[in-house]
This record gives sequence, C-alpha cells and structure tokens, in this order.
Amino acid sequence: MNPPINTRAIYLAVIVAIALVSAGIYFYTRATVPPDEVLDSLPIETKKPQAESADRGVSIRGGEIVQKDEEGRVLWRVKADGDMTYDDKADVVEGVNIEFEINRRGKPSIGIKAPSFKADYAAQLVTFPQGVTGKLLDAPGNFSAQHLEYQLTTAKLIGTGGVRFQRGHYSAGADQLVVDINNPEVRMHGNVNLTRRQ
Amino acid sequence: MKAPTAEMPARLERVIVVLAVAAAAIVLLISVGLAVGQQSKATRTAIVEADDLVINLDKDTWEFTGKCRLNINAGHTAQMSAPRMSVQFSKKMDQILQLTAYGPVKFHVVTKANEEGIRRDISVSAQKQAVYREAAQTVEIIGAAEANITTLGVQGEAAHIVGDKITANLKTSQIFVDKPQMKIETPLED
Repeated sequence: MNPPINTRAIYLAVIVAIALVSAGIYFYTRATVPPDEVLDSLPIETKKPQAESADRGVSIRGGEIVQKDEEGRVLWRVKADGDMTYDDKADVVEGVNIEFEINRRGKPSIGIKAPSFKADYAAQLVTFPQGVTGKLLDAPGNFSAQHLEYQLTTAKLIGTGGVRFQRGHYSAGADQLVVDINNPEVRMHGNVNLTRRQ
Repeated sequence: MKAPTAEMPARLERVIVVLAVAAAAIVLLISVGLAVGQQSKATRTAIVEADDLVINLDKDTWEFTGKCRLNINAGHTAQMSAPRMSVQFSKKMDQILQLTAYGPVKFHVVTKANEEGIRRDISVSAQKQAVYREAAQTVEIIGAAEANITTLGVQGEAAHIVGDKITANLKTSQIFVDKPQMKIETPLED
C-alpha cells in the first residue's frame, strides 16, 4: 500500500519554490538598475600636516592644504593620502592620492579624486594628469577624465581624454569637458554622445 | 453555536495554507511585472550625438548643437537630424520625457513588418521643429512637413504627403497628417 500523500508538505514545497523564483527575479531586476551615484562622498578631514625633511622644499605626509580668498572664504582644499611636496622656489605643490574640493561662494561645489595633482601658484593652474573622477556636490552628477586642469583665474575645470558626465541613468561622452564653477554649467565639446546606461 | 470539533483546526490550517500560496503567487506576479517593466525600458534606447552639449545644472536643461542626430532603437530603427536639439528628462533621470529638434529637421524610419510582412521606408522633413516623446514613441514634425513613403519590396509604390504637421507613431507604425495634400504613385500592371 502506498503511503498517504502529505498535502501540507506539497503546499510548503510550492511556497518555497515560488519564493525562490520571486527572490531570483527580484535580485536580477535589482542587478540591472545602475546606481544613481557611482562615486562615494568625498569627506575632507582636517589633519595637521607633518613636515618631513626633503632635498628641496617641504614634504608633507597625510596633510591638507586650504586655499582662501581675501575675504577668508575657502576657494579650494586638498587632502593627500600619500606624499605632498611644496617646492618654494618653483612655487608648486604636488601630491599623491588626493581628494580635492572646489568651493563656490564658500560652499563645497565639486569633489575630485585623482592619483596625483600639481598646483602651480605662478601659473594659477591646478593639474590632475591622470585618471580623474569628480562629483558635483551641490547638484547630482559625476564626471571622469584622463586629464583635468583647474584654471584658477577663470574658475573653470577642463577635462580631456575620454571624458564622461553622468546624471541619473544617462551618460554623455565627448572629447572635452568644461565645468564652469561660477555659472553652474557643464559644457562638452567634440563627438558628443548621450546614452542611457543599461 | 457549534461546539468545537476536530475538523475545525484542519479547516483553519487549510485556509492558512491557501492564503499563504495566494500571497506567494501575488509576490511572484509583482516580481515578474517589475522584471518585464525593466526589460522594456532597457530595450528602448535613444542615443543623441552632436558636436557640442551644454548642461545647465540649475535649470537642468540639456542643449545639443552642431550636426545633432537622434537614433531611436525600439524594434524599428529611426533617425532624426537637426542643427539643435533640446532634451528634457524625467525627474529621476531615467527617461527622456521630450526631445525637441529645431529646424530644418529630417526624420527617417523603417517601420516594423506589419501582419502581411510589409515594411515601409518613411522620410519626413520640416522647416520648423520636431518633437520626440519616448514614452508614447511618437515624433511630431511641424512646419511645412513633407513625407515620402515607399513600400519596401514593392517596386514603384510610393506616396508623397505634404501637411502642416506630420505625426509618426513608432509603436503602431502609423502616420497622421494635419491638413494633408497627398500624391500616390503605384505601378501600372501589364
């Protein structure tokens, strides 16, 4: 004689199967949606620079430089995880593994992460020579470029080399990207293409 | 009032099991709905190409200039070209609400095959502007609009339509013309 079929076990098996399929579909759907914000926030910590001896200038490890205008408002600040070197003869600061923050009217406007930077006070130019990622701090949007310059006289960021600007699900690429700090505007030039991120 | 019997807990248990199965089925249906919705968004793509782009971050306006091209891929292939295009996105920035192209505008689409397997090649031009709406999959071409429609695979069959406004519905592969003037050419049979 066959053993009686346990109906409760069948119901439970059906529920478990449906729950597993539902969970699978839910996680698959979640996986296809890109995150709104790709970059993490860029917290700036204040640390006292620790000067080390150097052949020329001053070498600082784990320091922060804050640049202010005549009215005492912060223009930009940079924090380095690696070495930061100040060459007093050339009037140049260089740093490795940096987080750079640009302020607009005293408020954080743009955060930049880059493997290195160079601030040339005489030329009024900050250069990020490779693999730059940036984040707008007062509006949604991220950008990336192979090379980035911050012109202090014009308050413009100019990116070149595979530049991309991302907002929400859309991403625009071009040959050149210009972020105007004073007029909150992003301009892209040459071979512009706008695509939806899948 | 009925006295409690051994049958009652068994019935109650059966009701609970049925309710649980129904709840699980609802969850499954919602998941499938979400997945289908996601996929339909993913398969409908619009790509804009241009020489320059200006994004006003305060007003959230995206203005393309210089040899602007819109490529729409949603089962059919459609292209639009104009000197200037302005894009308005949804608040979540997950969809193009409206793309306005400023004239002179050219629009070209090869429709999906209909029930008889017939596809049509439609070329529309206008002097003023064209408006593309992604959700509705429509293109409105405004200002002395002219359309040339040819049936692919049928030699010599063509139509030339002139109107104030021509609306192409990319979902249904239909063309609507305001104040039309139409000329149809069909080949004579021997």
